[in-house]
Amino acid sequence: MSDPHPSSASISMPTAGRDEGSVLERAGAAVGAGARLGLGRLRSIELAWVALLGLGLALATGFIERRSGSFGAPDRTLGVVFRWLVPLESFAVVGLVLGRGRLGEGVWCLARHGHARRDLATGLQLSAMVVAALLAVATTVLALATAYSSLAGLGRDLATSGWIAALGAAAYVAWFAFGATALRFGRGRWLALLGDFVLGGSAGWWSVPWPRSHLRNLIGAEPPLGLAQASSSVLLAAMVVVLALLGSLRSGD
Amino acid sequence: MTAAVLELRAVHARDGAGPHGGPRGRLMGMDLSLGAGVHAVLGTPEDGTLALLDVVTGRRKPRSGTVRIGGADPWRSPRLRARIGSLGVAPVLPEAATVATAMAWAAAAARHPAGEVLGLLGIEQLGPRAVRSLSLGEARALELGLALAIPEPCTLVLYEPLCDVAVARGPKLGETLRARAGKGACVLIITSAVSDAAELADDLYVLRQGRAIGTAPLAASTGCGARELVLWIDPSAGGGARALGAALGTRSELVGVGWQAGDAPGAPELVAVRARELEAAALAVAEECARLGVGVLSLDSSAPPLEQVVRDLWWRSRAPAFAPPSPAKADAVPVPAPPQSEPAVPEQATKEPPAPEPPAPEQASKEPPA
Repeated sequence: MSDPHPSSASISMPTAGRDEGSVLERAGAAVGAGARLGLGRLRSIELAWVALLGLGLALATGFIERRSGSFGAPDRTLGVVFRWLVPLESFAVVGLVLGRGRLGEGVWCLARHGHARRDLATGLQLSAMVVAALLAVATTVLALATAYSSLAGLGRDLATSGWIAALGAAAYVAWFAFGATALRFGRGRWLALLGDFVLGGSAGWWSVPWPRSHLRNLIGAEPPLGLAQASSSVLLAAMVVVLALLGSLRSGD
Repeated sequence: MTAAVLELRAVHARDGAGPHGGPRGRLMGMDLSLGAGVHAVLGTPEDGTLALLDVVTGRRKPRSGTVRIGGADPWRSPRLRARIGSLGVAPVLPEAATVATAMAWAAAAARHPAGEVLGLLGIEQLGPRAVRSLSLGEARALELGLALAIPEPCTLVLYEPLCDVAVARGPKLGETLRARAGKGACVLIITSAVSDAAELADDLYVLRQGRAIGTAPLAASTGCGARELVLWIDPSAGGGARALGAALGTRSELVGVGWQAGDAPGAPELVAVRARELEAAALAVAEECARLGVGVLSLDSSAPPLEQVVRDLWWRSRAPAFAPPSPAKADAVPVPAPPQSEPAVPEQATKEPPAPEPPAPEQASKEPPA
């Protein structure tokens, strides 16, 4: 073991001044590192199983709904996909990214070397959002394609449902990641899932914070507090931004 | 008195190493102020050593109290964390595909060159390996390399650095750490082994039930400074233990010599020596053995157990006028029982099991036996 730094320069303690690289540059590097970390964790056989299961269920749902009656089959299929498959797939993606830990602990392997936890957590959430959105879009497209008995109107429905699925999945990831900043092992994300299932299914004021109520509104079901579909879209997008930022801020630094 | 680099003030903290993520140990209002140098904190995880590691590295936020390194909070300051090198119990390496990529990620985060991490410990062959394929010792060696590769560290916190670290080159960790300390870094060795603390550190802080209960310079403390060497001697060659003990009694490098006859005719005899410098003691023993033609069947080094150090500190704090009943103060050298099999010298740095409670020696004196 040799000493790679043989000079005897005295050590200066860290100060509030800024060292090399701007704050934005450092933050950008940390967000990129967090995203790489998240994508690396998602490059796993477990995600393949989640995708396979989700797509299989979407296929089965579309097929069953079409067999039970072609009229309204796409709507019924979308109801199942947005109520069950999209939240559970997003939950699984967040679980794979964070493992058995809180959001701040999940980025410690890089935060210990000098990246800010909040920036790493932002990158980690972004990677999870992208993967969950892609998975949700694929699930929705497959379910709709199976449920449609003819090609008429399929393209438009696919495009509309696709972005709703992507936005919904991102909102779910933001909620679950925010929940993972609470309780030991990040078990707060289970509370978020439970809250969405229990409270998000109604149309009262208590359903407004949960993605489920807005997704139901966007596919034509009863809106929460009578909100317009455009308002639900905006609220979902706001959820993505606000909850992701809150999650990052709560993760430390 | 050097300026404090690491300061803990009334810190209450706990680790997450217990069952179901619960605490295994806690810090209970710990105060500690350390300047540049190599310091050892002696204690077990139940005493709060893991919690201390977590708060000093910035992994966990203390429940109350303050932790400052160079005036900054390691929990809050990423820039400070880039200058804190640490070796934990369970390695936490960047989760890249290969070791080389993981090292590059870590270096990029800390903004220092990545090239020398693997070469520092002679583990270049790990570069193409998958991070997940590393053994515990290999992963800890990488963590140690990452800690030592920081160009200007504020603090190095090493948990049991001589245990389960698969380094390929000679264990000259002490010299490397002293070089860092010479450049102003505060090096903190957290260990439960007195021998490791004595080998690496200059002074010792004992952590007991979450509080630092005492401190002492290792070289002049309650026995942890003096190192012991125990030899099992072939009685049929060169006069045996008696002659060797007599010869060693005249050596100035040693502070204590004892010997014990075998239990039966022809059984191995024991010689135990105590010295401030283990290497000097070994050299003196080797010279006398060669001169007298004494056959050494086996040798081992030992240090007083943690409990004894704690007991001695307690004695010093309660009754400073009285000398503690420490083997270091007495001339008697405790002689451990001979091992069942000849101890092998490990190629890599590994922790030796604690020595069993020694029986009283038949004769033990700085004076050579008649």
